[in-house]
Amino acid sequence: MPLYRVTHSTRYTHETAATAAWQALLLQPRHEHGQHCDSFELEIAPHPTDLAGRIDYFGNKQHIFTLREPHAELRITSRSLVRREVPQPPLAGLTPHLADIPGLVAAAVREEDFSLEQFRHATPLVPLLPAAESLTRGLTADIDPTRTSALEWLRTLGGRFNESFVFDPNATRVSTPLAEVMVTRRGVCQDFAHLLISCLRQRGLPAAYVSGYLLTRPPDGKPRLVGADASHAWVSVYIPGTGWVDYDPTNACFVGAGHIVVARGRDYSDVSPVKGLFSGGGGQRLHTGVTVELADG
Amino acid sequence: MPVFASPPLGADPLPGYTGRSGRYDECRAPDGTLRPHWAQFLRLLGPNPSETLRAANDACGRAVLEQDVSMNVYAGARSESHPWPLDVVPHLVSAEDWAVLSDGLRQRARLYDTLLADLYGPQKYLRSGALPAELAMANPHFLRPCAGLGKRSAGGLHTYAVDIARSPDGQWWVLQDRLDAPSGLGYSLQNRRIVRTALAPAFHGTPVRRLYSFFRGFRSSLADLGRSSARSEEPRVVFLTPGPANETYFEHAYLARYLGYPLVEGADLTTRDRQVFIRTVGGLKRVDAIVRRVDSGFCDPLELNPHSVLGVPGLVHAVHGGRVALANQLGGAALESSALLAFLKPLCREVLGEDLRLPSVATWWCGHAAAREYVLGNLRDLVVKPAFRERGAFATRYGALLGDEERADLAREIAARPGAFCGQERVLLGTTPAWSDGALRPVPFVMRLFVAWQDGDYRVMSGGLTRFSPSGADAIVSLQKGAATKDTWVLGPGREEAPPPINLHFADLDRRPAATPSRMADNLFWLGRYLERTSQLARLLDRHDPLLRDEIAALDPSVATDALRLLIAAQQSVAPADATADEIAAQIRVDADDTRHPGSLAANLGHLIRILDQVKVNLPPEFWRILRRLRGIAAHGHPQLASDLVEQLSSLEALGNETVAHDTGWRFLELGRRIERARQIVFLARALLLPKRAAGEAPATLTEFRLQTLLHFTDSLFTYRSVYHGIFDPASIFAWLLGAQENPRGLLFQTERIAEHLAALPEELAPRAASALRATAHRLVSTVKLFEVPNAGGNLQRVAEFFDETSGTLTELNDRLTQIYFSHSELPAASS
Repeated sequence: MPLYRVTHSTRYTHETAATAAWQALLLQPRHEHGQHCDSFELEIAPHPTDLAGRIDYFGNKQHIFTLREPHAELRITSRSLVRREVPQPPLAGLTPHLADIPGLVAAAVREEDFSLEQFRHATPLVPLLPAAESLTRGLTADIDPTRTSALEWLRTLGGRFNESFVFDPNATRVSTPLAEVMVTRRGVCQDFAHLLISCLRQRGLPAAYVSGYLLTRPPDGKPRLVGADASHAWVSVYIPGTGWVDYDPTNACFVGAGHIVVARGRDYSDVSPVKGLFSGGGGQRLHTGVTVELADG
Repeated sequence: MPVFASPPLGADPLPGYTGRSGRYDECRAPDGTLRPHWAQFLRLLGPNPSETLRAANDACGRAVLEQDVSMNVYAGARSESHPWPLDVVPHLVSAEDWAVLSDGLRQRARLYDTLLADLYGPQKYLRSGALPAELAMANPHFLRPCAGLGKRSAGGLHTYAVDIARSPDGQWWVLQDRLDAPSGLGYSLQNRRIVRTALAPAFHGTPVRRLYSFFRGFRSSLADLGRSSARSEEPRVVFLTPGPANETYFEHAYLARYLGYPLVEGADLTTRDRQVFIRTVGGLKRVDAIVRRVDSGFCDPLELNPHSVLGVPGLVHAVHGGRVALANQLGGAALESSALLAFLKPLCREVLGEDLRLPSVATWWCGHAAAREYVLGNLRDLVVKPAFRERGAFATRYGALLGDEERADLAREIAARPGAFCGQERVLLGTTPAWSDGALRPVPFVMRLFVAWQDGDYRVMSGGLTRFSPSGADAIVSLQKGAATKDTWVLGPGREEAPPPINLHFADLDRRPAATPSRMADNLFWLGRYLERTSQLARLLDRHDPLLRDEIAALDPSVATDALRLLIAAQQSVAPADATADEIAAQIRVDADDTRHPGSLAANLGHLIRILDQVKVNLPPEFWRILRRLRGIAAHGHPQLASDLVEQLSSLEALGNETVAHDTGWRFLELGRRIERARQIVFLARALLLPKRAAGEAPATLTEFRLQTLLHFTDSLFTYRSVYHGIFDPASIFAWLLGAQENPRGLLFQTERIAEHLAALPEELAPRAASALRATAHRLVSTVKLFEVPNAGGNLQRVAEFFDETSGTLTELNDRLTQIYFSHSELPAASS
């Protein structure tokens, strides 16, 4: 299994010093099937006295701390060593036909895992936009849902979806409503993930949001993927009989070894890597930087 | 002779009262006879029940106004205070009915408590499917950051309330359950206090069950809760309110006071090291339990709604750490969905192994196909509600009131998002007698009843808040939409004896001196400043009468002009240089009533009223009466013409000294008053002794008359005369005004009080800054003491310097006091 070294730094600067801070972090890569977090360090300056961890509802590891001293700058740096194997792309032919999905999902919610239900509805940042449903319909008009496997359908939809949008880091902010992205067709990985989630949920597929990282410099001969120099985000889709399958709409691909999973949730609001409040402090600025490299390469 | 003669046997005391067809009436049975408990109550009203009720109703209305019982009604973005709507006729609940109700309510509370603990714990009822997944997983009120909090022992649902109604067959039906932050306990208590007095003979002649012991148990259960997280014998409990704009703020203040807990807002609390603290002028004090009236979702901007300004960042994390307990536990709103009512019966079987004893109104959740078909097929007869209570969710719709097209639209909406809707049976509410237009009439009612966790079990309050629709329409039993309330008399047996006043009875009373919350101290300080400023201005304007002006002008026209310009400046206004005396006088009058002009009498009165509204819950009722009068004066629009404004303000000043404890909070009030008064003295003295003059114009001379006028404006003339036997000598006048310890309106007196109060304040927050502040105050006292009085006609340059220095020091005191004690931002934990 390749070993990756991840460094994620966040720096807040304030023109006038903040007098206190309350911060909640979701920075520690998940332990899950195919991924193992060998080590995780958190360096915070100024040093908090009450850093404590908690596992959230989605099984992510959260860290919470407060600062009680005036500070003009807050630095949060996380360093992880993550072992991750190249996931086997699921065999499309083994997945059910798209037309059978709603019934199978309902049965899965009833009989296997009630918590799938939370990935089927509108969530704080993902409204079920009628425009997203029309988009899906338009992009997959030539596909017969009674003859096409769910995974094949997803691959086709994802590819065409990717071609309909332009990656543009200046087009949106964290707070830009999804409906606006739908109109401008420009945005970043977060926007594409949210939009695809809106499309998938309206087709009856439970869809989750994944925050993570991408390998910054790809192995020789492989193209550099978009979104590699910052936190990345993609989509996870539940396919009955197969389970959760991660798909990256920004790069129109199923995730590979270089996609390191940090946290899973319903949308970005469940998994934002660093969130918090300051007391006092003016002229706040945020700088982030992410590096992911092969540690044993 | 008995006080109440009984009417002749057999005569109907309510000849005109008949129930409404098809409904259950609490008072008259279908065969036309009065139900026995009502017959007994009516007998106690004497030979002429109408007259008794008329008088009692008047008394009741007066009491509501006098005690300033109010509720806020949201009007657009604002909320407006309205008098509390209370009908004097109590709603009577017979002992037989009560047995059914209280038994059913306790069972329901146990059921919901278990469901709440499970939802935020193992979630086994979701796993089993007894609770449909969508009702939790798609529910905006299910707070994922609170997952794990349900592992605690029973009683996480500390206070539970239901709205319950009587159907035509006499059955009780629960309309809705309230688990998050139920309101109404305080209003129930207040209603009881008013109605018990207004209808004293009937109350004392009826075996009404009392409320005391419920509240006693309520309080001791909160102490237990605090002890569990504090592991200390003296837990600190606070009452968290969203603040004065909340619709039920009155009852938050009322209950907090009754129970003896500090009333705090989110900004009064802070977290560190996973513990909650209250910010006080004596530093941070740890909080062990919180009575919570802020909706769960708004309680913590770090982990819950990030836009909330009502919460405390880090609260959820602190609760997870187990070092603070909340009543109620966070997250209960998730179980308030109407849709859940459709599943309560089977849930009760599965959870408690019992049949549900108190049924809910028939409900069909459209998320299930069969129920959806039923709702769509019976839209005309059903009420359609949002499955989850949600801001911005569509309003409840009554199928019977919709047109064909609207019904078709609704059916389409349901088909598109079935899980978001549920249908409910339309309940024909039972009726109870209410006093209306001089007679008793049947009105549809809903009772809100309360259950609380006490001593390891649920206990029902033997009373409640009955709401009714005065217009008679069933749909309108919401207080926000014009409903009114009643006291609820639960009849014996087992009448409890009246215990001593509640506070004397509590063994667990917090005996530590109350620490004044910083925000409260801040408010009291500004109350002192605005009270003094408004009062001073009112007196100045009171003196501004033409006769007096003529008199002064006849003796010394330059003094008269300076006095007029002083009055202009006192309201932070300016008059044109060439304005005549009459023009200036007219402008003073116009300024005074102008609320938009920042320094005007009207504007200051407005500030004073606003701040009194903020702090009134901490002041005795005498204040409230004056506050009401001040509101009346302000509403009239011409405060300077109100003949009693000066008197009302003087009464306020006196009350501030005589009816409140001379504790730390009072010292801040006093500091505000003294600093403001000192500033006023300097301002007045400067304006009359050193008036601005155009270049080349001779400065004012210190004539005896000028000094005498100054005494008059500073309210020192009378005292001066009595001390100096009417001998007007400039040196004595200066001495009396500035340097006499005996003159309560003199400068030295103010500065000495300032120094005295500062010396008594706690200093834990910033020991060094506090001691520097005290040193500054002592320096001011010395400066004033050492000031040498100039001779008449002497050099006024030194006087000007003295005034400049004094006002500079007063500003410095004000700013540093604010910085040390009121700054809401966090102070450094340790300074070098």
